[in-house]
Amino acid sequence: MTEAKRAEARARVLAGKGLQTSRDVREIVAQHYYDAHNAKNGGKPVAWVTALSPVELLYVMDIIPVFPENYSAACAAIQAAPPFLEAAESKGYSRDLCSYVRCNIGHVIKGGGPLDGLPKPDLLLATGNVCYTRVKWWEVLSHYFKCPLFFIDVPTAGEYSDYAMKYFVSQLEDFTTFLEKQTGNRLDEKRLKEAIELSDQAAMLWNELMEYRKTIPCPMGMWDALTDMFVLVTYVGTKIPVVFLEKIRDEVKDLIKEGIGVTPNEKYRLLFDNIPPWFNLRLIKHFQNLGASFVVEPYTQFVWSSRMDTSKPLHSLAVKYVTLGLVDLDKKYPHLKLKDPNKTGFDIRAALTVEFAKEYKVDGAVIHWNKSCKPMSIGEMEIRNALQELGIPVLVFEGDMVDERLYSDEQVNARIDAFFEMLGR
Amino acid sequence: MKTSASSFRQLYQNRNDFLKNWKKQGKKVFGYFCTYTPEEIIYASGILPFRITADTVSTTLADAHLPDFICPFTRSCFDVALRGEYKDIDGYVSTYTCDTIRNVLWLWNRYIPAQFMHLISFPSGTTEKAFDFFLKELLRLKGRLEEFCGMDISNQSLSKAIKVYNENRMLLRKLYDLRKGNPPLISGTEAVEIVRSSMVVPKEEHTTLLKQFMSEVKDRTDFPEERVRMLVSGSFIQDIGLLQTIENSGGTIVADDLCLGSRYFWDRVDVNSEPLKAIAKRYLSRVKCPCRHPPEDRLDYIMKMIKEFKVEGVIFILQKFCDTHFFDYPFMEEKLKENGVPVLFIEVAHLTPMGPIKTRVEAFIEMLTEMKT
Repeated sequence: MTEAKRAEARARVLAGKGLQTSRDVREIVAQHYYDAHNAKNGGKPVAWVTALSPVELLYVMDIIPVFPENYSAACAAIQAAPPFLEAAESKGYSRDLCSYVRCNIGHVIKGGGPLDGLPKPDLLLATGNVCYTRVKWWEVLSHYFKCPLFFIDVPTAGEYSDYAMKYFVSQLEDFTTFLEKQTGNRLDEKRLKEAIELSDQAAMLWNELMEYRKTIPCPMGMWDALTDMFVLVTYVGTKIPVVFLEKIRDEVKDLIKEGIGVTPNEKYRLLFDNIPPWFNLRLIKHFQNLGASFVVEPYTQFVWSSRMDTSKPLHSLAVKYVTLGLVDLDKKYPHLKLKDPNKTGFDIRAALTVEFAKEYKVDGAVIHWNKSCKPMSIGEMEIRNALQELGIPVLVFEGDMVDERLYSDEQVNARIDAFFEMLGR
Repeated sequence: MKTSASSFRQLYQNRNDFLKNWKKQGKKVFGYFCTYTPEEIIYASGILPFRITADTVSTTLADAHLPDFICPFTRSCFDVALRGEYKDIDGYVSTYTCDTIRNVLWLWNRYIPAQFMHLISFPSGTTEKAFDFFLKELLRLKGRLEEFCGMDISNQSLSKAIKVYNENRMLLRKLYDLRKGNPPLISGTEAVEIVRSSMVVPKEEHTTLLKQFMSEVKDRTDFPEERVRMLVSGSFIQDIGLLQTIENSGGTIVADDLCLGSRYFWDRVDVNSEPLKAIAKRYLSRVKCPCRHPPEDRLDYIMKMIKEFKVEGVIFILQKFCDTHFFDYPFMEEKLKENGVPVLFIEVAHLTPMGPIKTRVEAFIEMLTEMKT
């Protein structure tokens, strides 16, 4: 980097505009969709896959994955979602259904959209972690596209048992066989090992970055974390996230050395829970203007730091995508006893959120009561109570991740003002 | 008639008194949340499976824990529990069917703690591997129950449980057969009340009462008049008044696709194979709820019911915020209409006022009557 460019990058961070390197994600996003369209036009198979599917395996099999969840978030971010939401609703999809789904079904019905839309799928893959909504969503897609639909079940109880892992692995084997038949390609074991190795490198880098965010002032904010996560969601198992995250790491390390944070005059350190309102990421800037950085989000802490074992590729994928990173979190925080079979999903979430709040030295927390995500939102009052018991002020605001019609700027801003009064005390 | 549908209504209404008595006799009871719970295994361990249901008063306590966008049935169930009405229950077993049930179960674990809490994973498919996995899940449940009870659950006791459950299921099928005729011998409201009561008392007791009812019902003279033949589809309907409203608006409900109705008992367990395997097979391949894949199977089932019961129109009663049912609805509506089946859609909340529903059902039935003539 030249001195002039470096100075420009610093000026950007100092102005509270986030990391210079995070801006590269825009190009990566554009390239991702462009490549997918090109691949489709060139006769390569395109798969619509749920986020947190074992994409490492898809890349090894030369299947091009695209991510409807990400696309819905992208539409929301540039205010392109409402016409899609309305199109889905006019076809009978209830306004109360998840807005990622409505936005995507609307896109399927209407066509068009940013980045030339999603190329049509040759294959649909849904992985049953996270929520059951995605199974229903992919069923709807299979009715529209009449192409093969593949589910990978994820054991959601007794998930650490040998038979649960074996079941997941056996489904990956079936899926591979299915892809081999569809494409005529054989699974290349060497390439699979490489992908697992790259996935592991990305996980280590992500973990390192999350550690750096503990620094005061915080050198990597929520906007960066959410933006940079794109490379992990879409490209894990390839070189792209490794190369990109190394650049991010270098910038973050420099900032730490120079004592620069993402929020000029960081006065408050905050935790954010739930999926953010993608249509209003300006909210982050609003908090920064009031002297607050979001330094940790459970949403970006799960899954992505999952270490992989190249000697057991499929088993590694099972551990990562079945437990969603809990095996590694358990190693990191043994005192929380996350694998105790008596602990429910809420107990685990609450324990980790409290731990993050302590570790990242937060002064307050913001919770988004996101109508579209029932799994995350049902337990939010538990999270709030757990944080308040630590004496941490909590702001809860209602809204949605994509449907901006469910969000009131005025109401949220009034609550933010009240929240800062509390923080200031 | 000595036994009437009101006898079954009383069984349901007095369920909590029944529980108290049951406990006084030193016996154990487990709550379950969903009809995918393999009750036979619980029954075989000597514990009474008791379905957790809601009530028809406003929720208060649950509102402090749950967001607005949670299905009213689950919210009300949780509210009833927070009010302390389930304190006699020794444990809970559920399956991961929908996201709301799973997550509320976790809340349940915190606020209504019991000695036993168990969640079963359910595969989406019915492949051999899915079956093997599910069988292991059932073995895990069986193991935990054995530990809890301090005794083995033998194949013999599993077989006995299967026999008891199958007999009740067979009788309920026969009860439904009474609605195939013209006029039907029992109303839809009566049928659903009878099925509902079977979920909260020991099956043998229900079977005895049901046998008596069946022997007497053939001579009844107060059977419902012949009206437009309807099928209702949905999940749990806490307020039976909703079905009464439909039947007071010119329709007779002759069949259903409800988790409070036929979906609960339609399929029996095969008695000729190893008991646990047969149970696993029954729950994996039974009539599907929208929480199971694929919706085509449920469509086939509804179409089959329409033919068998000579249904003239279908009413979908969907609870607000019940995602899985709402996901299926556009597909079901489209396919049924393609097959010439008229469809009415009703969305209900907790304590839905009946007036507007009555108006809509009347208009629908009027349309069906005109189509007939």
